[in-house]
Amino acid sequence: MKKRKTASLTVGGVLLFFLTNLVTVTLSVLVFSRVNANENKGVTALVLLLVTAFLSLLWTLADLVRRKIMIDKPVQQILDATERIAQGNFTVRLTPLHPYPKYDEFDCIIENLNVLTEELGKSEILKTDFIANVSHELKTPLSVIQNYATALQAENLDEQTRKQYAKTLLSASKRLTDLVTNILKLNKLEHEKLKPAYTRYNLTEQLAQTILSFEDLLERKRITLNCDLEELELTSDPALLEIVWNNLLSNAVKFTDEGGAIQLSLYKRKEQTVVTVSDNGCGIPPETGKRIFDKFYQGDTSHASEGNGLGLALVKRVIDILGGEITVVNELHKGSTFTVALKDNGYAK
Amino acid sequence: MIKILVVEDDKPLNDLVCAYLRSAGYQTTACFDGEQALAEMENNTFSLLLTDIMMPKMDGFALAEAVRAFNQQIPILFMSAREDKPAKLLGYKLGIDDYVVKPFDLDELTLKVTALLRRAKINAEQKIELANFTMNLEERSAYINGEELPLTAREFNLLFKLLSYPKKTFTRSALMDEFWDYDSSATSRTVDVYMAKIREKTSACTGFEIVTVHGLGYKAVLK
Repeated sequence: MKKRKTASLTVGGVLLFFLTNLVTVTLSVLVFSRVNANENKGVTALVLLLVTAFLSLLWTLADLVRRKIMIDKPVQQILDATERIAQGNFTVRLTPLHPYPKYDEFDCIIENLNVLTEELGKSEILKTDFIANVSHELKTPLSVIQNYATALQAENLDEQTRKQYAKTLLSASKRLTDLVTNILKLNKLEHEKLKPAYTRYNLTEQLAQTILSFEDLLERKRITLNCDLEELELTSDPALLEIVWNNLLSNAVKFTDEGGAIQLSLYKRKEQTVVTVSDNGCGIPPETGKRIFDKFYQGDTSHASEGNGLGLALVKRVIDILGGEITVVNELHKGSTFTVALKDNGYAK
Repeated sequence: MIKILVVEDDKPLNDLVCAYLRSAGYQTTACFDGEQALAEMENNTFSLLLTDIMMPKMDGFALAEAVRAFNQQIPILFMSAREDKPAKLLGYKLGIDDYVVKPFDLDELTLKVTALLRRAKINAEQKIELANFTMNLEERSAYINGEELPLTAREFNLLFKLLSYPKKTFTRSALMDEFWDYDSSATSRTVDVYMAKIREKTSACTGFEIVTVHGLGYKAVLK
């Protein structure tokens, strides 16, 4: 809450009313002593009535001017601004009428409006970017599917071309499936007031099960897997963490070349449970490293056919929800290491 | 001929699944909703039920429940776009055997069907036969080339489990949870010791091999 003036007893306020009354009383007494000389009470009363009426008019005018300056101006400014915001213009910024230490209520409203429009503007940009990215990612495989399905209708295709077309259809639809699944998951994480379901469970077993689901792929790419897993239990949300392990491991498998190696380890460091996933694949250049947790960011467009750029955004989101951190260390052409440090939510309310 | 009942309201998908299963050597009957499927099951015997969840009239959950009321044995395989945990849990609670999420790979579906039928056969016959090796669950005995192979109760159970789910990797702790008491002093190394013994005893078997998977667990690979 910002410091501001509230309605209270002030010296200025007392002085204002003191002066008003002083002028009123003094003027009345002066006029009274002048007109009291003649004996006609009616005339005296009439003169005093006129004096009172004149002074009332004077004070009313003075108050009107005061209100014009102190209230109407900021209210009009705020009204104009809210009207523009209501019309969808989030670039509106207002200037407070007083320097910071002397803020009144209006200045606070103005300040809050500025914060509000800034946030609205940001989410508007994010939304526009997201829609642009989603429609690009959705339309690319869709157009591949449409075109290859059309091509398949041709009658004089040889067997090999037909198979090639079918394979392309398959990979495009698979890509679409992965994308839709990830968008749904991300949407659920971002828009639902998601409350993690904490339970105490065997983390070692979960990691083992996850890596085993990639068994076929590992075998096909002849990847050596080194596991160094301590027997550990953790209180957290297993369904959410599965998203993390699945994405990190599938990335590791994806970016490791044939005959490469993946190292998976789990250990306890002070209060934190640490999981690291290393591969000796192509690595990530530093400028990409900063942005890999952004939605739809893909370091290398040549890998575009294998992913949709949402995986690591999901990972980051989950780790933020569960209270932990993820870091990535990498060396170009030597591989990358993702380290996830989780807190135990055993005592969290 | 093994008969499979395919219940799916989307006609193109139903046609495709049926065609694929037929090409894999199964006989198929197509139904487009749960009620039709139930009527079909009253008149015919099927070896496996493959069903969608979201269908008109009677959905997959209701169908599974109705089928389980009169047939406990038939393997039920769900295929659905619903990937959420509640749907899966409800399915397993109703007694389904496995679950594939749409869109699925038809080869994967066929593999699951084969695995389910295999297990159903083991359950029905209480017997595993692999080349020169036989396991009889009722007698709790195993034979290599007709000669009895001495196995302890735990060795027998471990081997029967691995051979019932060939190619599936079981982690050490999953095996410990199932075959050792909760408070036993067994560690994951105990599992290794047992596996070494089983390997040694079954070294003469030509039909399968027990493989260590990345130091995480074990699986049986059929030859």
